[in-house]
Amino acid sequence: MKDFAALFTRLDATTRTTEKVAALAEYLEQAPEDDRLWTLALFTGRRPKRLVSAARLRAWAGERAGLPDWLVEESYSIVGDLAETIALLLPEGEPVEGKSLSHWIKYLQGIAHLPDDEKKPAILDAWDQLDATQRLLFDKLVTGGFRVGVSQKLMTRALARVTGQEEAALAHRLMGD
Amino acid sequence: MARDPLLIFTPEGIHCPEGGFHIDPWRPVARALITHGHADHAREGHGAYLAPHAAAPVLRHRLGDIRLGTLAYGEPREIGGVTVCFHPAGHVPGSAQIRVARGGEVWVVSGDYKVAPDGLSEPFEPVECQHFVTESTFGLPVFRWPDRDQVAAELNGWWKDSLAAGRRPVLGAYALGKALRLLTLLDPSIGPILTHGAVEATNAALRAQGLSLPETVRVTPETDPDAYPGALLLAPPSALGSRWARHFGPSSNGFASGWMRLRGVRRRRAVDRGFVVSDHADWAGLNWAIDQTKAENVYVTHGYTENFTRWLCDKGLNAQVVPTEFGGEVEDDAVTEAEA
Ligand SMILES: [Zn+2]
Ligand SMILES: [Zn+2]
Repeated sequence: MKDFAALFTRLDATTRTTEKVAALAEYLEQAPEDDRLWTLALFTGRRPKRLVSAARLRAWAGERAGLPDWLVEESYSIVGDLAETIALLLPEGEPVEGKSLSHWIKYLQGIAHLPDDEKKPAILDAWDQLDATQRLLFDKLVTGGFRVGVSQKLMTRALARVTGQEEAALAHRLMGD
Repeated sequence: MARDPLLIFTPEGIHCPEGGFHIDPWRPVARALITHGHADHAREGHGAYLAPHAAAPVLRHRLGDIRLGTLAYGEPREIGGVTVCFHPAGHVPGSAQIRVARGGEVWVVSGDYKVAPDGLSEPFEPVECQHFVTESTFGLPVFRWPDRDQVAAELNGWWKDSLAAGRRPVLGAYALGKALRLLTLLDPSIGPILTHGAVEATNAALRAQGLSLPETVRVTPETDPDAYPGALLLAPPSALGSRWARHFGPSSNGFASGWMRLRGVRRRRAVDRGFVVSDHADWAGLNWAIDQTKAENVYVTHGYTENFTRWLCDKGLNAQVVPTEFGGEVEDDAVTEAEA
């Protein structure tokens, strides 16, 4: 998740197309296979389904941070993004090395069928293992709101640079299933 | 019979009727006690000024030939039946909280403050009181500052990455306080540090009073941009993207502010990199400081006043919002997209 978060930070920090493509290409080159595929899928609009409602996630975050609902609400209105608000409000986590993007996606798939009150401890547990940027991305996966400003064209350019068209076709297959 | 309060809030600013003085007033008054040299706290036109010794060079630099008396931190002074005393606020070098006491009644006006030591400013000193006047610039729980080492690693990493990408790192920060702190975080082994005149003027004032800062080179119209390969430019935020900066070729613009904690602000400012560095207390810092004072009455002057006051009231304190003209928008940290 660390590398994926670093990619997100780099993409977010620049408005220059060349730098975005370079960041993507570098990431794709070194990312393990399953992370690469998930990244392609996420960036081309295949979002995981919502696992927990935004309202519930917000309530859990407030509880975990020891803050009243109204203050979480006010914070949200100033930050403007729920996943980010939650990421910033929670106490500092202890980022765990070696848990990748695909690890967390599988983790979420594993709890998808549980009722909310059983999802809750699993989500709180995950939060403790992520830093603020990683949490933001994780929360977006949880709420099904994953949207990153990477155009299809940009993605294709980065892909072409790294692996050629085959992988692009693979990404499309992944999107379709 | 109840006496009048020791401090009252008037259109001129925070006023002590019995002592005949104001604290950080925003309209001209006869006698002003000043917490620190930022423009929204130390204004022109007062008859006489009283400030900590350590604030004098910056005040003279900013306000010119004023009638200025100074006191050491912790040195009490009687003014018309009340005792005043300056205590470090940790905000910028020379900044103070002002303790005002009459008999057993104690008020503390904290101006702007920060509780984590920055290696330059005299560290914040909690002062017990019954009435505490606090800022709340970053009075929301989303504001939490990373530690010094982390910020230093980010800054120096960005410096190296920019050079590797063929770009000149230009770091924007306010001259008094912020730019200084960044100087202490930058690693001069990477390259020279070039400074804008506005930054260098303040540096000079503070070097003169004995603060040790890394070597800097002041940029003048004669400065040859090619003479300093590997250099980083340190400048006021207004210089980002200006002709002054373009003179040095393609840049990577960095900006240091507490607001950089928020992704939306980073994006609106369209800087290449944001660094979370503030001269104000974060959420935990504000709460810790208020706890330490043991004050039951808290007056919240500027920032997220409504939210922070409600939070304090929820905790059982007698807190209220006090409208002031402290903005911190210009000289301070609290610069948002409103600034051109
Ligand atoms: Zn200030
Ligand atoms: Zn201020």
